[in-house]
Amino acid sequence: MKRNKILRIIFLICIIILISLVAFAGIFVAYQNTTKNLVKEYSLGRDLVGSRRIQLDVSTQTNEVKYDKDGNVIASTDSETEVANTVSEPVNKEEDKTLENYQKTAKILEERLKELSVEDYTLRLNTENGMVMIELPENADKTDSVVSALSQTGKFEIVDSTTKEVLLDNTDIEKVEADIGQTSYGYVAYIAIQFNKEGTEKFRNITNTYKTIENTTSNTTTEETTEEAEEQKEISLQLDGETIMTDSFEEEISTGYLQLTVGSSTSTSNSEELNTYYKSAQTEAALLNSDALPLTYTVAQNKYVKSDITLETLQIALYIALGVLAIGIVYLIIRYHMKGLLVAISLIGYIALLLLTIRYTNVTISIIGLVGIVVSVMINYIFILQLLKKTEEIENVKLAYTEVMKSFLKVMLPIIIIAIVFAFSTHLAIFSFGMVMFWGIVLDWIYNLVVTRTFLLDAKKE
Amino acid sequence: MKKVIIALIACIVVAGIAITCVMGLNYELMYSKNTQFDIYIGKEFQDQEIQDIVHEVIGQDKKVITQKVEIYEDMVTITVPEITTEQIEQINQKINEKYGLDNTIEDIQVVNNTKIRGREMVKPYVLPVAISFIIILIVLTIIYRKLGIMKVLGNVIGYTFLVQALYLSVIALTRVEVNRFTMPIAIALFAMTQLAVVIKLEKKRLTIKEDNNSNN
Repeated sequence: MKRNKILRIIFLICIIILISLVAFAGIFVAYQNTTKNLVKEYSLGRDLVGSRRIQLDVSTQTNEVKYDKDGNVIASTDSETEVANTVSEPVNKEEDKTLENYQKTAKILEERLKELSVEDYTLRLNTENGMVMIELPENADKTDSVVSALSQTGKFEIVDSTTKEVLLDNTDIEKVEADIGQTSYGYVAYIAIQFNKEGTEKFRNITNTYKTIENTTSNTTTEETTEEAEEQKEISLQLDGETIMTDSFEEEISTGYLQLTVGSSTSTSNSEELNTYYKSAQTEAALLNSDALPLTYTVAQNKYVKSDITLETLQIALYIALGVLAIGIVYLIIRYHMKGLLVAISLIGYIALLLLTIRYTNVTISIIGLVGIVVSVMINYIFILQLLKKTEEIENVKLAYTEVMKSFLKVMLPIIIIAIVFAFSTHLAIFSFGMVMFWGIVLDWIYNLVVTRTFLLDAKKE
Repeated sequence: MKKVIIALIACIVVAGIAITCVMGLNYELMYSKNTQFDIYIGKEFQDQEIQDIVHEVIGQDKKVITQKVEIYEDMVTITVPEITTEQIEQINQKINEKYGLDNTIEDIQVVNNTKIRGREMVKPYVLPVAISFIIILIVLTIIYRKLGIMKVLGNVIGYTFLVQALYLSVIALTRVEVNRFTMPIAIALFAMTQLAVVIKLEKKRLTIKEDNNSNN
């Protein structure tokens, strides 16, 4: 019996040493003339690693506008009308460069970021010149499409392709969603536009006016005259002045619903190509769900900037944390002797397991996430301290453990609530804290039940 | 003794609120109005070297932040509270001499950033904290209803606001910089306050239970 207990303690200590080595040091193997760590790396947030800095300046570009002899604007696609006059006009009029428009721009950009599920960002507006500086997390898949959505004006128009009369614009849109659908020939990424009440009526009229005409021709063997084919009227969908598509409608659409294909793929729904189209669709949807920017902006700066929190700063913080932990461990050993030593070893194993769990559950660690790790370790320390105190009062370790766990659960209730609520947040830093606390609490229960209680049981019997 | 502590805390909180209203908080350089400019180095460099050069020109008392730019880390972005064009030119010249470069002032992009308001820092945390606080209030009121609903609410709300007010006051009075650690510490204090309040309520409940048992 006694031998079994000692073996069990030694076995658990070996497991803890192994987990600690993996968590703190890693598993290195030879890989292409160098070494590679098999243990998954930490996913770090922008405050620890760096962020994409985007500077949007109010555009000072000019457009060449051509006028005919009557003073009417000649469309860029019209090569027949004689040009009487060409004037360089700025894309942004001076009277539009107002504080109100700058503030509106900042608000619209924030709406677009929210549409794209980017909540962790910093936005600064220079109220003097309308310059907007945005810092975003760097994400290989997402950041570029976010930058694209932010820099476009987002002016959506349905125009008569001949007269260029604006028939519908952003103000007629209720909601736009991006989605992937299956067709007979594969998968398509599309945006679904739902117009509002006014827009639905306008769109119905458009679908009636711009109907697809089937050409009629006469039978040349008869004496009936040839009917001239009606000229096909078409509409153009334009985004920021550029034509996305030109089309007519086969039937009336009274639902106010318009589906536009962004791209299609014949491969499975998970293909890279389809995902790229889907991201474009999401960007378009985010653009159209927010208003058009009141001014045209250009991207003056688009750089990845490393965090000013250096490795040295993090190392100092780590040494301080290790120092405090060492003091706590020394107290446990001095106060509780062998039990204190075993519980201290258990605490180190808990920290190692928590760090591994964070790595493998893809929790992105930000500064507040690091605070979450510290708080989790502190809570575990308080728990084992309470447990040690209780085992001095009650001989039965299992009973002591049950009592401490019961009261601890009650005491931990607010922390559990905070962890769960924060874990549902879309803001990366808050999510980071929530998930770290969540895993800290789960491991607290499971790990202490399996390891710490076993140590105390066997140590007591010794 | 208890009265002395309460009086002291009240003084700190009142003084802190007064200082915040009059002088505002002391924000770190990244959160306050600043000037940023980028210089291309083209090779490896140490942040400290660039900081030393900048300090030589603008003075040792001014805060300087340097950050490496792009994955090749061959560009530096320098953030200072304020700077003149002549000073930027001097810094550029010194960097050219040190690293053997030919950068001109036209190569340097200068941006004047506005400050980030305190409410912008707090905004993302408001909803999750509010939701979790309301749920905690409801749960604790139910669990400890025998202690008296108003007493439980008073304890939870009172201590939560007191700790946060004390924290803010200490920041305001000591003029410690408000930086990216400020909100995480506030959240940690919020969490630990809830823990402490529940421990207090639990002790009270056990005391009442023991008293009832001894009376019976």
